Formats: sequence, structure tokens, C-alpha cells
Amino acid sequence: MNAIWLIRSRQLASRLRFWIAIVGYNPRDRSLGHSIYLFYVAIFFSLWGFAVLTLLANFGAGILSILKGAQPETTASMVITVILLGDFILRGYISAKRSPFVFTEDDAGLICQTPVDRRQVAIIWMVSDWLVLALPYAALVVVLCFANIQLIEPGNIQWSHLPGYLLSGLRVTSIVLPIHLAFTSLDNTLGVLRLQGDRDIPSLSLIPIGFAAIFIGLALVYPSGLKLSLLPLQFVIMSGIGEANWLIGFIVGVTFALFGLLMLYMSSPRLNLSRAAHESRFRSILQQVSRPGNLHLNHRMKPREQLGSGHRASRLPGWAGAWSLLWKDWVISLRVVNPRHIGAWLGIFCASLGLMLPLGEGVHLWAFVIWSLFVGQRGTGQLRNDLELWAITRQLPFHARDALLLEIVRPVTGVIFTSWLASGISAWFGYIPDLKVIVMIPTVSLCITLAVGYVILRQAKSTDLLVGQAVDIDAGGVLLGLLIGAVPIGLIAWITSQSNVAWVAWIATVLGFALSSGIAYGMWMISAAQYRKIK
Amino acid sequence: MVQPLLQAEGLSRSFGEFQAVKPLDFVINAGEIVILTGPNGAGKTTLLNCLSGLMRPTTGNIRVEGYDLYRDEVAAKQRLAFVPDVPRFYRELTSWEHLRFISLAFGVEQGWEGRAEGMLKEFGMWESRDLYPHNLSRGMRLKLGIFIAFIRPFKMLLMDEPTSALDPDSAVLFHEKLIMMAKDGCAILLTSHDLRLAEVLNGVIWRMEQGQLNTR
Repeated sequence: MNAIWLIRSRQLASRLRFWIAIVGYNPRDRSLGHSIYLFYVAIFFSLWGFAVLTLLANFGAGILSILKGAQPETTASMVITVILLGDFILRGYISAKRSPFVFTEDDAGLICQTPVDRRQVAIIWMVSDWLVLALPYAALVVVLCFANIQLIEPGNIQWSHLPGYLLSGLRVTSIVLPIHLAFTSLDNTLGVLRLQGDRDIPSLSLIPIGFAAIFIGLALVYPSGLKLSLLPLQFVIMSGIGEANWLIGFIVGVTFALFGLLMLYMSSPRLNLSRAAHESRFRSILQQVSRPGNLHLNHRMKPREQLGSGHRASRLPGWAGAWSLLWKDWVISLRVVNPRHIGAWLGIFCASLGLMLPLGEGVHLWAFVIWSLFVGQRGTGQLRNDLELWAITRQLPFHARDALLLEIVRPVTGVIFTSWLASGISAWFGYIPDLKVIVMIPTVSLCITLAVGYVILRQAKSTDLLVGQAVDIDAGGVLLGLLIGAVPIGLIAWITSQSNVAWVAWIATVLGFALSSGIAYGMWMISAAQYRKIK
Repeated sequence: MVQPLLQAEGLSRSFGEFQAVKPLDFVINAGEIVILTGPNGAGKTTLLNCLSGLMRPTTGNIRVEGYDLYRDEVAAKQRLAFVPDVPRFYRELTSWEHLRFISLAFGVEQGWEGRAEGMLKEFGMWESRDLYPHNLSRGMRLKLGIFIAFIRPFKMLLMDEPTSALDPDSAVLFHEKLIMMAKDGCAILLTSHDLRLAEVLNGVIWRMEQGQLNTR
């Protein structure tokens, strides 16, 4: 067996063994009972996965149906095209900045310092990484495909529908995955071109930036030109969804994948593995840390890699006194683009969209729950950060109420504007958002944040804070946040249910706003008192 | 009447059943340098954490120049500075930005840059001013913790083993600074295992053992 593949396959097998061990299967146990158990586990997770994908498809169908003026299959193919291209450009940009290949310390010694064939390393590393990267794409396209089927054939899913669903899932993945492989290969090719010899080529990052600029420019200035330029890709994806000839789409997809692999193969004979190993050393440690599920440590370590060694002092104008907390928060937030934070903001945006769009009361309720969770998490993020630096923040000469307010003001403002942005987007779709919701967003955000903050402060102990361990949001905080946020909204819902007259809705909104403002003020005072009392 | 800069009355701290600091009373006046010594686990760090307001005492009161640390917390904190044994920093702020943040927080808008530059140059950290704290060595991190205390106005300085990771030149410079501060009317309480410090700093030694303080 090829030596490089031998090492890589052992690494992949080791990762797989970790997941197998989680479900309680021991590969060394060769008994019949254990084999039956493996079969059972495989069937169980297949059915579970199918059920989850179908459930998500319900939500996807709701989203596809609200996009007016387009057929669901066209919308689905457009969504897949945009995500594939966006990911292609983003990964391309990252590859042009740092090594797309991640090597461990062992790899650095066993592979990178030896005269192995660089082309084999590039191909094997890319394909093995792609196997993991492709999974969420496979899930996404299957969900969109199922959603499309649900829109074409409405009604409850029955067992007899299962083969049809499975076939359509296979059909779409057989098209999209080769395209994704091609894009990943091309992104890695860009990384390989940067890793030739010892010289860095910073201008390579202009290629993905140029692509992004062209697409955005076309979207803004000449939308039909953008549609035209994306037509070949969209046609191939349409063939996966069942709106065009599958065989042609499959042949095009596989040819494109082979082209991508060929480009990577041809560009990598002079790939500088030592540089790649040096650049990816910290990332390999991060991956090893997060693999057993230690995400907390990973989240703590990851920003260090993004931050690098240093930065020129910020020129942001500062404010004296307690306002300096705001200055500090701004500088910090401008330094690190944390994927976790982006996810939370995206979550707030999507949940707000769920609140604004006419998706039914059930969806609105869930959207509110999810929105509240994200608001509680984001709203108290800076407070938890400051608690982790107790020795600095506790010494600052501020009243606890001022410090608390300034620690949450920036994230809560972010929450309010993100939610309002979602309402703007829903208006763009043609759905005028409920004015009551828009009015209530600021005070309800404050209520939830302060309620979650109160629980965090109540559980905080100085002995833990001194070693940098702030309390995470727990079920109690989530529940209190939800309850506190739901009270004014419940009041509005109750009053408006009594009468359909317009002025009643206005009075309900004013009362709800006043109640939520009062609750927010009360929670602020209680939380500030708790802040002072931390033992 | 001249207020003592630090006054503890009936101060104690317990962790469950365990009493880390037994009830104690003491006063530190302006110009005094106190070196708190004692074996590991004697309660020195816990006492300093209580005195700095980082840890609430189980019983007793703490006054900084007459201001109660918990009832008049803003006035008391404006007079107090504490350097922990292992300082912690914001990951995303550079050394210089930490000094700017603390200056702003304590309302020092004028002249802080010159003082910060002077300190960083004196202690050989000027070149590292734009580095993030995780890229500093242990000794440099300790120095940054000291600068964060020194950049703001204070009257009472508390330090937990401040010279443990300093190089000999920096330690000498640091001792000179402490003596000057005491001459300017500040009071200093620091923990150390180095008994010669009392001689170097012209201070007094207090001994702590099993949570009990002996100020004689």
C-alpha cells in the first residue's frame, strides 16, 4: 500500500473509531451479538437521520414557499448554487492566506520532512478532508430536495414514499458532491500555488476577491447577466433535483471534479510541505482538542490563531470612566471574527425572520424560543468575558449598575438591529412585519439578556472567576429569560385576542412596551445588586 | 484626622467549614511598606484577594482611606491597586491597549501615554507594546500586570508575589519604584517568601500562618 495513504487511512480510521466507540461498538469484539448490535446501530441512525432530514425539509418547504415569484425547484437550485459558490470563494480566500492542508506534529516528521511525492500528499489530504466537508452539503441538498418534493406532492409522508425520497436524495447528492469536490480541489490548488517554495504570493487572495466582486457587481448592476453566468451550474444542479436530464448533469459534474483533481495534481509537484506543516501546526492542535468534544477549550484557543502575534494600537477614540468598557468592547469585537459569534448573529437573524414571516403560530412560537436563546447567549457574551477577567474588571471604579449596562449595551444593540434587519428583509419579500413585534424587540431583548445575566451572576463565585471560569448559560437562565421575555408578549396577545379593533392593538402594544420596560428596569437593578454581591 | 490607608476590622474568610483567614484587625498607614510572609497555604493570597475586593470576606469590614470597600466601592477602588500573582488579560487587547483601557477607566486622559512609554522603556517592554499578552513571557506578563496597577492613580498598593518572575535588573528597578511610591505617601502591602525584601524596601514583616496574622 502507498505509504502516504497508509498513514492517512490510519488517521481516518482512528477518527472513525472514536465515533464508533461513542455508540458503544467495540471493533475487537467479533461475537455475533456484537455484529447484530452494529447492524442495529446502522439501521437506527439511518432511520433517525432520515427522520431528521424530513423534519428539516418541512421547515425548508416553508422557506421555499414564501419566496414569491419563483418555482420551488428553481429556488432550491438557486439556493444550492449560491451556497456552493459562496463557500468556494470563501474557502479559496482562506486557502490563499494559509495552508489548506493540516498536518499534525507526527505528519510533519513522517511526511513533510521526507522526499515523498507531493502530488500524492496533496490529492490524498484533500480527498480525505473533503469526505468530512461534504457531509453538511449532502445533508443540505437532501433537505432542499425533500422540501421540493413536499411542495410538489403535499400531504403526510408514508412508508410507500420512502423509496422515492431515497432515490431523489441519491440523485441530488450524486450531482452536487462531484461539483463540491471540484470546487474544493480548485480551492486547494490555490493554496498549493501559494505554497510553492519559500516565497509567499499575497496577490493570490485577489483571485477569490475578484470572483466575489464580479458576482456581487453583476447582482447589483446586471442581475440577468448573473443568472446567465450561473446557468451552466444551475442546470447541472437542476438535473440533480429532477428538472433536467440526470445523466448529462452527472457526466458534467464528474468531468468537473476530474478537472479540479487534475489541476491540483498538476500544480503540486513543488508543494512546500514544511511550510504547510508550520502554518497548520496550531490548527492541528485545535482539531485534536475539539475531536473528543472539548469545544470549550477549542473556542478559547481558536481566537489566538486568528489574532496572530500582535496589532497596532487601535485609533478608535476612547471615552473616560465607565464608557471605557464600551471602547474596550468595540476594540475586541473588531479584532476577532469568531465563527461561533457569526453563527449566533445568523441564528438571531433567521429566528427574527421566522418571527416576521407568516409561517403560522407554531413556527412563531419556536422562532421566539430560538431567538430568545440566541439573545440570551449573545447579550451576555461580553458580561461573561469580563467576569472571566475578574482581577481586572472588579478593580474598576464603577458602580455595578453602570458596568452591567455597558457590558450588555453593545450586544443588545446588535440584537435589536439584526432583528430589525430581518424585518426589513421580510418586508422586501412582500410581508409587512407586525409593528407590535418591531416595537417590542428592544425592551424584550433587554429583559431576556438581563434575566440570563442575573442567573449567571447569581451562580458566579469569585474563586472560579479568579481562575477565569465564568458560569455558562444553563437551563435556569434559559427558562428565566424565556419567561421574562414571554410575559409582555403574552399580555399583548391576550389583549388583542379580546377585540379586533385597531386601537386595542395599539393600547396592547403600549402596555406591553411599558411592562417590558418596567421588567427590564427591575431586572437591571436586581442583576446589578447581584453583581455587587458576588462572593 | 489622617485616615489610615488600609484598615481591616474583624476580617475573615471561610470556604465552607475551612477558615482560610481567621478574624483579624490591622491598619496600614501612608508611607508604610509591609511584606507579608508565611508558608504556602497560610492564607496570604486569600487575604489579598479580600483586601482588593476580588473576594468578599465572610465577616468584617475593609476601609481604604476611610472609604468602605463595599459601601463606598467607587471611592475605595479609586484609591486601591492590586497586582495578582498570575495576572490575566484580555486576549484581544495588546499591552499598550490594556494600559489605555485602564487609564480611560480611571479617568486618566492626560499624560498617560508619556507615563506608559516611560514605564515600558524602563522595564524593556517598549518593543513588545503591540504584542498580545499570550505572546509575552511569564515575566513580561507579570510586568504588564504591574504596569496596569502603576498607570492609574492609587494610594494603597497590594501585590501578590510581584518579584517571583522578574529578572534581577527589573527587580532592582521595581524595588526603587516601590520605595519612591512609599516616600510619596502611598502604602504598600506585598506578599513574598524573600525575607531580605524588608531590608531592601525598608519595610516591616508580617507573618501569616494557618490563617492567623502576626503583625509584630
